Amino acid sequence: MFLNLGTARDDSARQAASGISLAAGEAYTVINGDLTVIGDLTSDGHIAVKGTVKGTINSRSVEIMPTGVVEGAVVAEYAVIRGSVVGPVRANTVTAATTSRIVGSIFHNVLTIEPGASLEGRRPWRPHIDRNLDNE
Amino acid sequence: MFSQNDKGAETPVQSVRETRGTPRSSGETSVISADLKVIGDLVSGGDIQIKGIVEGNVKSRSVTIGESAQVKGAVSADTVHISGAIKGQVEAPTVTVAKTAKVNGDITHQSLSIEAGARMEGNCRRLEAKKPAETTASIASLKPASSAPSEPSKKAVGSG
Repeated sequence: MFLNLGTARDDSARQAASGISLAAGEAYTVINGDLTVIGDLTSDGHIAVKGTVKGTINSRSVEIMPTGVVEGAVVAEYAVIRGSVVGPVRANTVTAATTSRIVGSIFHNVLTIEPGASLEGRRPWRPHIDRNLDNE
Repeated sequence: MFSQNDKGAETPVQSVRETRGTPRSSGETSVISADLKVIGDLVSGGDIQIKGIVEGNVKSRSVTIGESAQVKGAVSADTVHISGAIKGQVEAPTVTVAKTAKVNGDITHQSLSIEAGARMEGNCRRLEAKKPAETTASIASLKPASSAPSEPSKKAVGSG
């Protein structure tokens, strides 16, 4: 793996990065299993969610890990969902993994659904999704 | 200690030791990176490392506020390390303030260390440990001891 997680010391952070390629030195945020965030997260880097977020996540790339729970919108350029999302997902590239459960619309340009993913809601295609515009 | 998978079995001593750089086997530290802005509260039973902006209250076992961090809100934890900026109350048994820190708010602590160069605005209040039975016992034992020494010492001078 050609990852340079300059800001993350945590080994689990490196493991969590599997699947999403990061630019060198890109900021990397981990919401771990025992952390609950009640509020919004905004970042231009990467966010890995293993815990609970009740609020909107807006980041360049987002990975919801199998233990992760999001109650709110996930807005990103790249989103990999392996856990549970109750709320809309808006991202250019969305991957719904085997373990994922999404209740809400998935606005996407490129969508991958792995077998076993549990999806409830519409999955509208868009030519481009700008995460800085609240256009849906 | 690494063979223990039970999170509840960890003692506070271990948690303090691990925040000082020993890597955790289970990776319980949550990282709020430098370009992340959180508007809302953070609640955790583990460790939180903040390098970005948090506008809201933080409650955790251990909180590390990095140099690039800006926290607006109350921080409550077992151990708090401050190297960045915080505007709000800090309440923790162990508080460490580094020289790069800017603290604007009150600190309630049992053990506080401030490095030379830290900017502090606010009150530092020591919170006594919650052991009321022991403190009353020690006061009771002090009273006769403080009044007694004057007489025996005179006797000792007279006899000598």
